[in-house]
Amino acid sequence: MKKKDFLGQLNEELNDAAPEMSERLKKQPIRTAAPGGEAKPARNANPKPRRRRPIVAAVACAAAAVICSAAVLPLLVRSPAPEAAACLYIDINPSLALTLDGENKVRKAVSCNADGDAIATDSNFVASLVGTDAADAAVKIAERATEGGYFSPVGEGTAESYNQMHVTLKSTEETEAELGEIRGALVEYFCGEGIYVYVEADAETDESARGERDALENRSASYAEWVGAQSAEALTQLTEETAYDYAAELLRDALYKYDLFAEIDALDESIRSDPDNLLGLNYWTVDRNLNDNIRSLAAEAERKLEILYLLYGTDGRTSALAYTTARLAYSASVALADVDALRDLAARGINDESFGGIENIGVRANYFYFVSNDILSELATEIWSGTTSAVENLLSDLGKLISDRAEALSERLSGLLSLPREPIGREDYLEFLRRIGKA
Amino acid sequence: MGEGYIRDTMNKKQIDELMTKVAAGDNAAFARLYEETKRGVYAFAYSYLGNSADAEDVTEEVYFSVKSKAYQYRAGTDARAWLFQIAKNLSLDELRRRKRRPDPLDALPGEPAEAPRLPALDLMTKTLGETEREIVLLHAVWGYKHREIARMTGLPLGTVTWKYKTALEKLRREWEAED
Repeated sequence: MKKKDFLGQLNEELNDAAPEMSERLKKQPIRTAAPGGEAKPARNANPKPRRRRPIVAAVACAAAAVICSAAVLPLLVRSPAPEAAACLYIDINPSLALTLDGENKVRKAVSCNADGDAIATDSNFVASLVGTDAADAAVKIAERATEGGYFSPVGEGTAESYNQMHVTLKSTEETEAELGEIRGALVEYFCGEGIYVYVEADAETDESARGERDALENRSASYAEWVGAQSAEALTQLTEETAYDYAAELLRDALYKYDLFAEIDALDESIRSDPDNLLGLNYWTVDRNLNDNIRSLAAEAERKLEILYLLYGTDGRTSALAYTTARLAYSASVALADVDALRDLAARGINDESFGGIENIGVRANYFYFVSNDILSELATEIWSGTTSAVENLLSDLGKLISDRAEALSERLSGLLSLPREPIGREDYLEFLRRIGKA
Repeated sequence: MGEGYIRDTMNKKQIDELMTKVAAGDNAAFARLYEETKRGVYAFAYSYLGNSADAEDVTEEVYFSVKSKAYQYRAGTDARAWLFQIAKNLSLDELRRRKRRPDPLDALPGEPAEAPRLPALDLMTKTLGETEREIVLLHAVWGYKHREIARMTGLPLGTVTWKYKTALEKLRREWEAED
């Protein structure tokens, strides 16, 4: 029998293989635009099992204010719990807001920025916050943010660069004592984990807390969906801003890798040129106990090689050849990059003015060459060339960007997080505060 | 090897009309939309994931997504492109999930599950690069014109036309060699 032509065969295969609509899909209701333009929340008879779904579209929220942190609740809320007495805003970079009842227990959690949605879509995590004490909930969120890579577990912080988070407890009543408890719980958590984090905490006593609480109770848990419900333009702007944030993060990471290689090379050079190192042996072959200088340099080089391996998968820890091979390959891959221009871009910030538009094609070419991230390249091309215009595309792309970024952060730092860390003592923490100018 | 579409696909206007009805809650329109577009969605998912089970899962997820976001659809925009983008995003999500978990089938002893034989889809997945596959599927299965594909992908029209031609030549050679 004569073999079908390729397209004929493809046609036949697709006819046979494309699945019939499942009963579950048939029963799934369609979310429609209600009269007046506001979307009705969906009643999911059979929630989708695999992909995390964006949460229901929101109603407006005052939001703004500096700190937000909260757990995120999915559609389900509206429970008859006691009236919330306050709002706790937690800002790490994921920004969330928690409403609290009269006993300082969590009622509802809402995302206040795009990164907050990465936490907000985990319904199990959100459910674990409801009913817990505000201080415990704050620690759970801090823990989640640590696992998600939002805090760097290495380093002891400098005046220029340190981990920080900000909490604000806004209530109609005096809450200094409760705020102190929340701050204390967070500092204790971070010190126990051996991670230097500055925790800034503020209390606000104002009748407007009641209105803010009500607004939070009535809006969507997902920030992106809430913005999308306002207007396509606002969602476009949010998507662009999130893409720019991601771009900036990738650039910082790429520059860190570039500098890490340079620092390891410098340490090796210092070892080789030590006066007691008569044969000029490198880090991998020198006797580390030759003198204190070499011992110190070798310890530092070992630490940086460990970071290079954990963050970027380049294993030059035990072999000069392995390191040199990887180093040469990396150098070749970035040889044509204008690194000074990229440092300047990182300092100025990535935004529409510095990165968007036709006039910055050269900037983007240099950037993508250096960073080489395909996911962002694809999304960025669509956004910055204006071809992604439909709201549903933006929501989908933004959701993907947020989850990609959360995943990338988590993957990048998971190795470092697994390294053993000593708890931070009180004196060391006070010294950290002095170092960063907060004591 | 035949050129052009595999069959008479619905055009952009017809799909848009269906999607507009879906956005208004018309389940019959959704069922029709499903029948008209499922092959394209499945083909796309398969081309990324390489097996029918995952492709079926992602296909279903695409349409769940359509139902949950139907109210956001604006009449007059390109519903096919919307479906295509959702399928692409979900396929990429699945690929990333795979990287983070071991294949459960690897852990099970015994015979692997019976999977349908899809030699043309497998050949396309194996032979073509991502961009070539996308262009072939958009033109031959989804019914997009080359100019429309150029606009969607950001590639010059000449590049799209050339890539489609060379992709089909590759497929023809490999297909005949398998005889």
